[in-house]
Amino acid sequence: MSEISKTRSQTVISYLLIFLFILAAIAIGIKQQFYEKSVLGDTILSDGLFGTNFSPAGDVETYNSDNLYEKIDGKADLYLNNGFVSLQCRRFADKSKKDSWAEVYLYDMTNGENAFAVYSLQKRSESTPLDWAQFGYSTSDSVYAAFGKYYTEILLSSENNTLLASAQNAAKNLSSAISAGKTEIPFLNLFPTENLVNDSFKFINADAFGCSDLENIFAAEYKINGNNITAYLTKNRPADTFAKYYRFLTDNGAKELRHNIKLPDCKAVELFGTNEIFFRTGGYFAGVRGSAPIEDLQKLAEKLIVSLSRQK
Amino acid sequence: MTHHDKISRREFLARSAKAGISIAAAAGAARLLYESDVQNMLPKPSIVSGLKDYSVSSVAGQTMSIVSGSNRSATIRKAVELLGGINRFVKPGETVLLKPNVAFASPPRVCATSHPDIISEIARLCYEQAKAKKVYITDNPLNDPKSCFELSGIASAAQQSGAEVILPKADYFRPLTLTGGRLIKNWPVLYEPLKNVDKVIGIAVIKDHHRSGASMTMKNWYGLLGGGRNTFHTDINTIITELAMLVKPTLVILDATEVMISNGPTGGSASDLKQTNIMIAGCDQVAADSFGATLLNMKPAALPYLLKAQELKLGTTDYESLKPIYAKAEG
Repeated sequence: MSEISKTRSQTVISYLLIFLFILAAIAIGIKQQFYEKSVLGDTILSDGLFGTNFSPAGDVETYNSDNLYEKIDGKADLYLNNGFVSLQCRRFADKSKKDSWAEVYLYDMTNGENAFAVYSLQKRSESTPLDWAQFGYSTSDSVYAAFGKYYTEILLSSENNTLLASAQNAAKNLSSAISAGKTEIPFLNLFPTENLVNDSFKFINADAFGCSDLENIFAAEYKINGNNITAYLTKNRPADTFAKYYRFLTDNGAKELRHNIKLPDCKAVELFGTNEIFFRTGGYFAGVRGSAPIEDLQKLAEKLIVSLSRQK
Repeated sequence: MTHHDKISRREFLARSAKAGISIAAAAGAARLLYESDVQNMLPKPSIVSGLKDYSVSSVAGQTMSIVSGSNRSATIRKAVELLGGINRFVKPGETVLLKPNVAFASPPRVCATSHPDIISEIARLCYEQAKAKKVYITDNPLNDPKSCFELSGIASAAQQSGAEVILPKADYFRPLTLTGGRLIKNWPVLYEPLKNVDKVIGIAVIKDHHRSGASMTMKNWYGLLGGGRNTFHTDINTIITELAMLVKPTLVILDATEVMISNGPTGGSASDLKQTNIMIAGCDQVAADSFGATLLNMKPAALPYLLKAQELKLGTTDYESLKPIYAKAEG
């Protein structure tokens, strides 16, 4: 090969290489653009979450189990003990009034059961249910909801009805964006539906009914013949939970009552005017309690036993 | 290149070997001199062995005051007056450090942070009545400190009252070992703002606390810790007790105008608060917190850190034994 043709071929190869490098750079750029979009999509807390009258007052803050305490300090344990994965936060401000703002906290709690647990543990008594939400309510200055595996809080800078309405709308937008649909919490489906009080499910993580041996209890309220009755259940408790709870009640003065429930581990007691029937069936420890006639408690207990027996 | 410039294969290999040896020698020397942790190259700050005692002499019957009223400025003014006035605590020309709870970037109305009205009033008393030389305010929030001071209203209160906010910076922390302490050992503490002041006043708010049961004046010193302080959450009662050992304040103020009775320490909603309209001031932080516990419907014995502190003679849980002065504020 002559020197001239060698030089020419080297030039062609060089141009080809440069062209390839440019192609690679373009490909990386395109890929990164899509990557950015997916990251923003993942945050869910998009710029338009609060509608056109609000704008983000900062970037999305993200926390994991190692640094959650940096955002919520001593409250972190509540989430860490209930399946916490991540927290995203973002503040949105009213465009016409910068000191009017809302901060959204979106907790990924692994599954709907955990999200419900942290929702229930912090539920404020003075609240109004969100009619569109399965689990949601607002107070005069905040909105709380659990949907799918997420628990969200929207805290407002002031008590302001317009701001509250925007926050309620944002919570609804969030729920739609997540497409949570109805959250299936298997434990809650175990409660009989007849006479069940709406929005009365709750989770008690410790010291249920004053007994330190009762933990991680799901409970629901019933209204039967004008009386309030609480039904409760938990699974996978130590085998001696039944005996320990019975001892706790009798140590505090409970008197045993007669009952007709055909289970080997079942007791009925009366303590300070409250009747209670509690039992062990399958892997469950469960019971019903309230200032109601023992017959009414027994009917509800029997329905609960039937429901639990279907799940064994 | 001409024929004369050509080198033999032997010559090429020899030169390559020399170049290789030179590079290897340079790399070896660099490896020997390399310090993987840049922190090791910085001069080591000496370990501080504790803080000075900022307390003032006790006066019988003037250790604790409990004032009712809804106006924080009025109740704190009255509470300090009943203890002998600000002049008992701050002398002309002295420098004062206020340590509020500024843990979160939240508005004052949710009471997750110390209320700016108290900051303003105490700073005003220090300047106008006690003729203090300078009033400083500091805390080490875990959230962005600037946002916390601004959104809590404390930055604005400081500006209006002439106090200076000291935002925490890395070089303001010094490793500190508490004599007799188990947890505070060679631990970074926000030392620089404390180092040269004459007096320290703690300003806390009563909050339900998921981990410690209650956050009050003793827990408020947690904000002086740096580093990964969440590690102490597993031994929260010990760390709160050690903080009370570490800081001997001039005065503590416990705001119970609105008490966060649930969902603490962050709260977030007015529905987490209960209006109790009480302001406590005192020289005994254990006693102040013991009274504060009752406002959360707790007995002092339910808070192990109070019992530990009492055992260590840092104060008394039997606050009534101090004969607190009860009064009502007007205005």
